[in-house]
Amino acid sequence: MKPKLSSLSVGISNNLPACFQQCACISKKNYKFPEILERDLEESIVKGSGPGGQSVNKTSNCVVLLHKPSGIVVKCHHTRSLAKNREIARELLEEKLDESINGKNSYLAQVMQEKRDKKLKAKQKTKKKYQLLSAQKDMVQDKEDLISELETVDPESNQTDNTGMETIDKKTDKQT
Amino acid sequence: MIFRQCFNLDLACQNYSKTNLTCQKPHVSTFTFDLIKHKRPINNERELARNMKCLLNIPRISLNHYMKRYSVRQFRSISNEVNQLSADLTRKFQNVGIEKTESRLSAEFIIAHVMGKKMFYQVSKSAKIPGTQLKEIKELAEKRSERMPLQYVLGEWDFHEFTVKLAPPVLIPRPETEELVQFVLEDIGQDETFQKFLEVGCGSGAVTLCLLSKLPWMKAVACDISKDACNLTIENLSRYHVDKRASVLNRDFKSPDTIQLISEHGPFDFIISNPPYILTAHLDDLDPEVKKYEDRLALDGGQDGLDFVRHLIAVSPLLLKKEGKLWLETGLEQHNLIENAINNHSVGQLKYIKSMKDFTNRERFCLIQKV
Repeated sequence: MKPKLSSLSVGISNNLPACFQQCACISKKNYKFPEILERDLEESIVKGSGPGGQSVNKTSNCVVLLHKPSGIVVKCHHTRSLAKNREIARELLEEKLDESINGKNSYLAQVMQEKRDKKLKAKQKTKKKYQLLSAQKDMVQDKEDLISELETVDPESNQTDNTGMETIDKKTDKQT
Repeated sequence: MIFRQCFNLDLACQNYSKTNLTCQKPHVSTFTFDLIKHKRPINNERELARNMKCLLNIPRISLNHYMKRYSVRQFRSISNEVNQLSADLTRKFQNVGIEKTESRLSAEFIIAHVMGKKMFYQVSKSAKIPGTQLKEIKELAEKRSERMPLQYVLGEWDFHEFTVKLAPPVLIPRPETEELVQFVLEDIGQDETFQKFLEVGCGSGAVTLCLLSKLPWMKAVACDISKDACNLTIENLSRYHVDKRASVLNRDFKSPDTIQLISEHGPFDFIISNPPYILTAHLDDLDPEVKKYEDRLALDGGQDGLDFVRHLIAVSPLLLKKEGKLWLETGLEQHNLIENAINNHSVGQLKYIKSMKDFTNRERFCLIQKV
């Protein structure tokens, strides 16, 4: 008995309207993988041609799956369970076939693209943030410069007043 | 490149020239290939050239060329501790008579298990193995060298996505049995009208565990003649918290009392079994792993391998509901005999529905239904 392939449902995430595109995350449930027929598959599990079953105890549960029409071969020894390896081999084959047929629009390519977009967005966000921060800093710096400028100007004007007052005092003193 | 072992090149050269007396100009590549094949590392090109008196005829240039080409490729991968250990263990197991691929896999699984991983590719190859772990690896390797099955050495194995605890002499679940479970699951789907099932000869409890976990509305009765098997079954079911839905009976299925007791729990929607089906005469031809460590009672099917199956056929109508199913894993080329037994001895109560093939494309499972 061959394990079932992932069930397909219609709907490709590319055609969503713009308002939804920001939150659209591609997932296997939404993506339509190319169809794989069981009769096109040739599976070989390295077990030898002996009687098998109870009479043998082998730990080699490696599955090699060949898809005859496309010639894609997938080798899977991800787990210790043969049943699970067969299932995973079929999933890997699906993804590989999808990649070879759809190229840029394949599931894996789209996942990579989403990751890249996310990263880019995050980068742009931080860039903006730092730009804003540095702009604020500049503003604050400008303000401080201005204040310090004003402070350097004021004492001079005070001095002139003083001298003015002194002269007046002197004058008044003289007058009196 | 750093090589570990010392190597007596003179001796090698002498031996080589002795065996190749007819050959006046032995080819460098053959010589270096022989050295590498027998895993004798060469320290450097200069030492090789200096000691190769028997190969004075070969120009030095081609010598260096072959040295660089073959020695680098061969030894770069064995330059760290984890890989070296794996290679050492593989060789050790091969020396004991274990087949090449199985040796390599045993070594890899043992190392991975001690390092806390399930598969070798998950182990960080550049990691240093601490002394305690090294000791444990060596202990497990010792057990494996005595031809103990790897699953007993590690104490566990995977059945679908479940990790099943194993101990000798309880029978190790085979990959074919995983497939049988898949057939059953596909047949039942999500049909909740199926309420109860019986497993005859539950062994480690892997089948019952898998079915109960994937069919959460069902209840089970599991029966085995071996006390060890029943204890292990209870332990494995408890691990995955399905023990409350199962009754484990340590009984001899062939005794009428047992049938009486089981029928009080029934009738069942289906019975699933991986009964002993090996011919008694073939038992001694089996691999030492199976012969020495696994329970003979779980394997011995009598003269034609079908003793237990015949008993099941006789007794199933008493335990099954109407249209209840009997799922069996069998030996090869036993299905015709089983079908005959059903047609002749089940008094019209059972019907042979179909045979199903395993992943080696041979008939391994049969489906029988109560009429």
